[in-house]
Parts: sequence; C-alpha cells; structure tokens
Amino acid sequence: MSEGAIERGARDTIGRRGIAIRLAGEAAHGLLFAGYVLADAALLERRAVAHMPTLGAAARGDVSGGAIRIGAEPGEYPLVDQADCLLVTSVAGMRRYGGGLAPGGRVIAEESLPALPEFAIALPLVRTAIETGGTPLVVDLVAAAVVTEMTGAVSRRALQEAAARLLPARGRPAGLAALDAGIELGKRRLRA
Amino acid sequence: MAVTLLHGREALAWGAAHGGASFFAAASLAAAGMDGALAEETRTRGGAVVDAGSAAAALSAALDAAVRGAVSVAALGGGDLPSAAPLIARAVRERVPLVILVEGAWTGSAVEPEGAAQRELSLLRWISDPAPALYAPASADEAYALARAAALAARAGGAPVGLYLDAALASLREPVETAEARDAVPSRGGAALPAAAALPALAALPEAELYRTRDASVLAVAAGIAARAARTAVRVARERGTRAGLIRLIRLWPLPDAELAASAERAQRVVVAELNEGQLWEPLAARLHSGERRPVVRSLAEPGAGALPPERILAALLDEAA
Repeated sequence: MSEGAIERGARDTIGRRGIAIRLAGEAAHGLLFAGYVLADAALLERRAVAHMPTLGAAARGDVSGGAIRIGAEPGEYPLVDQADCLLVTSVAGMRRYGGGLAPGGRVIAEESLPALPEFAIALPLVRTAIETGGTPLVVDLVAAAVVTEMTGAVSRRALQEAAARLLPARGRPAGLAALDAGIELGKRRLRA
Repeated sequence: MAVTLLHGREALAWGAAHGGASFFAAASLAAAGMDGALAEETRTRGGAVVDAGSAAAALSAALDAAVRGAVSVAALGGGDLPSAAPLIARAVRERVPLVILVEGAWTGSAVEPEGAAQRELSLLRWISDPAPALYAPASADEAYALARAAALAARAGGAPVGLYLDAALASLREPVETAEARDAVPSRGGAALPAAAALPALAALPEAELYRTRDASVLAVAAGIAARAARTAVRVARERGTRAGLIRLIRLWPLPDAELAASAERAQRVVVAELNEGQLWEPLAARLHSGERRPVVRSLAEPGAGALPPERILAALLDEAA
C-alpha cells in the first residue's frame, strides 16, 4: 500500500470497544474545536470518553484536529489507532491518517478534496458552513454534526448542549446554525 | 463531586492542589498544565505558582519551599531529568516531602510525534539509592487521585513521591471526578483544611491492579498506557480461550512485591509490555526469579517503537500460552 492510501481494516486487528472518531484538517478548519464539542457531548451523556486533541508538539504539524474514543471499556486502550469514522477536510489529513481505518470504517471527506477513494463519502462541508453560518470558519460545527448524525456516537441534544456551552456568545448563532445544517446534511446522506 | 474532562497532566496538578499543595513550580507552567485556573486558585489561597524557566530552577524552588514547610510540587519533562537528577537525589537523601510530577517524552520529532515512550523509568529508578517512590497512573482519574494522595502524604512529612505519566496519558483528556471547591484545600489562606482522614492516604491506595490473574497461566505486566493496551489484549485472549491475566503496576518503585510474588506462583509465563528498551523487564525478571518458581519472563520492548497496540500484546500472550 502506498503511503497515505486509504485502506479499510487490512491489518490483523482485534475489536476495540466503543466508537473511534478522528478529525483531521487544516488548522483554519477548526476541527480541534469540533473534537472538544464531541468529547464534551459524550461527557454530558456520561459516556466513557477519551479525547486526544492535536495540541503541543502535534499541533506544529500540518494537520489539526483530534481523536475521540467514546463508549470504550473502562481501563482499556483509549487511543485511536484505527478510526471507525475519519473526517478529513484537507489533503494532508487524508495523507496522514488515511491508512488507519478500522474494519468497516468510513471516511467522510470535504467534497472539494482531490482523488478521494471510491468508498469515501464526499460532502459539501465547507459550502454548508458558508451557506448557513455565513463563514467557512464554522465548518468545525458542520463536521461535528455530520459525524454525530452518521455515527450516533452522541445524541443530537448532547451535541447541541455541548456546542452552546463551548461557543462564545458572539459566535453562538452562526455556530448553532451550522450545527443544525450539519445534522440535516448527515440525515440527507443517510437517507441516500 | 464534579466530573470534568482533564488532560492527564492537568489531573496531576489539580489532584495535588486538592490534596493541599500550595507551591507549584515548572519550567513552563503552560506545558505542565499549571497555568490558568489552577494558578489563579493557588494564588488566591495564598500559595505560589512559579514559571521557573528551567527544570533545575523549578525543582530548586520547589525543594526550598518544601523545606520551609509548604506542600510543594515540581513538574518536570522526561528530557529534564538528567539536569534535575542531583536535586531529586538530594530530596530523597534529606527526606524532603516533595511531590515530583514527571511527564514522559514523545518519540519521533516535535513536528511529527509518533507515539509515547516510557524511557525515563530506569533513570527514575537509579537517580538515587533508595529510589524515590514512583507511581504510574494509567488514567487521568487515577492521576488525580494519586496526586491528591501524594500531596496529602507530603502534608504529613516524609520522603518525596514521584508521579510518572507517559506522554500519551499526559496529553489525553479523560473524565476526572474532582473534589468540589469546598473539599479542596485552601491551606494558607486561613480556611480550614479537610481532616486528613477525609482523603485517601498514599499508603492506602493499591500498588497494583490485578485483572483476571486468579487462574492465569500467562500474565502481562505493564504500567501506564501500555497497561491499557494490555488490558484489551487480555480480554480478547480470554475470549479466545487463553487463561491470560494482567498485573498493572501502579507503584513502579519499589515494585509491589506481594502482588508479583502471588501471581508468579501460578503463572508459568510472563510478558512485560513496555514502551522502552526493557527497563521494566530487568527488575521484574530479577524479582520474579528470586523465588522457587521461575516463570519465563519475556519483554516486548522494541527500541524506537512509538506505540504498543493491543494486537502485539495479544499475539505475545497467545504465543506464550501455546
């Protein structure tokens, strides 16, 4: 397999409990924040959650985002080495994490990315952010909502509550609008 | 009690604060998770938080504060240990009640960190004779509890206590059940300290966690993030019919002899899951071979490995049991 190529469950893996989500994009896409929203939503629902944001040394690279494992067995391996759901909004994110999918794992990708693998689910994440929030800066909330809708990792209600708590008052209307739009986008994709 | 998501390093700092620590020093407060609310709260209570600029300066300041009677905490990075070693040795020699937080270094480069490592374990063991008591929590919640207990122990005097978190656990955010503010320790501001009996003493906390060891024929021994991987491997090994078990080391130095001896009585094979060059294997093998039963002890150490996934430990357990 070439470096960065996307592969599903090719390694000899054992089942991890819970759902593993990885978010990877450019720093400007705010996927770091999306990880915080998803992790806090899981905490609100009293789910077991482990969240590894790309901070510190990891933040110096060309990929920003994070990894969240929700609903794992207490005391077991908390890190995401094989994602059940990989959401990418940049080529670098795809190159770095594309090779690490769990068996049956799915890739949700920004539709404008080039050379997406056949099984990737291409969605207009950035366009949805611009159309609903008036700025591409809320693509993080569109992404968090799409992941929620397509994985069921947390409930919509918990996601909305977490976002409302974490968003600064000034950005709340646009952020929550983007969240609603992301939920609709995820629903439409599921119906399709 | 409140549940909140904390990085492992933050959990250490808050645990120490809620156990009564009133003096914090680090080469970088932000890197040690000691900035922001923790710094503000400590200062409000009459304590001090020192951004010392270097590990040696941080340890020196913390040591001085401890000698003057403060419950004192120094945070160090794994790479800082060589420069801090003489001061740690002095704290041990003079039995200064200091809480030392050590965060392991990442493997790989700063720009592309590849994974955690547990390379500091030997140095922490040989830094002085006797070695400082060293605990290795495996979750943020446990980091909080152990740091709180370590600060309580420091309040009562005694020798320094080290708490070691590998880089993965230090960066990971997990739920932590923290004490509410009224249960915390506003030590120097005049408000009452909680009764010592209300907090778990370090000596009362377990030195090791035994997971499915009772009938195990093959054992994994691990600490920190490697122990979390080993637990997954043991569960899957059991599902596949292998009588595997796990001894998770909570206290690394001195090693928990009783738990090791009891488990080694029954198991024929031991797999040491560690993220270094065999630093745990060597003292464990010596200990396990000191009795009449001498189980085969194998290390999964791999120089330069950035991760030890459950699959690799599972393969070793199944291989040893075959």
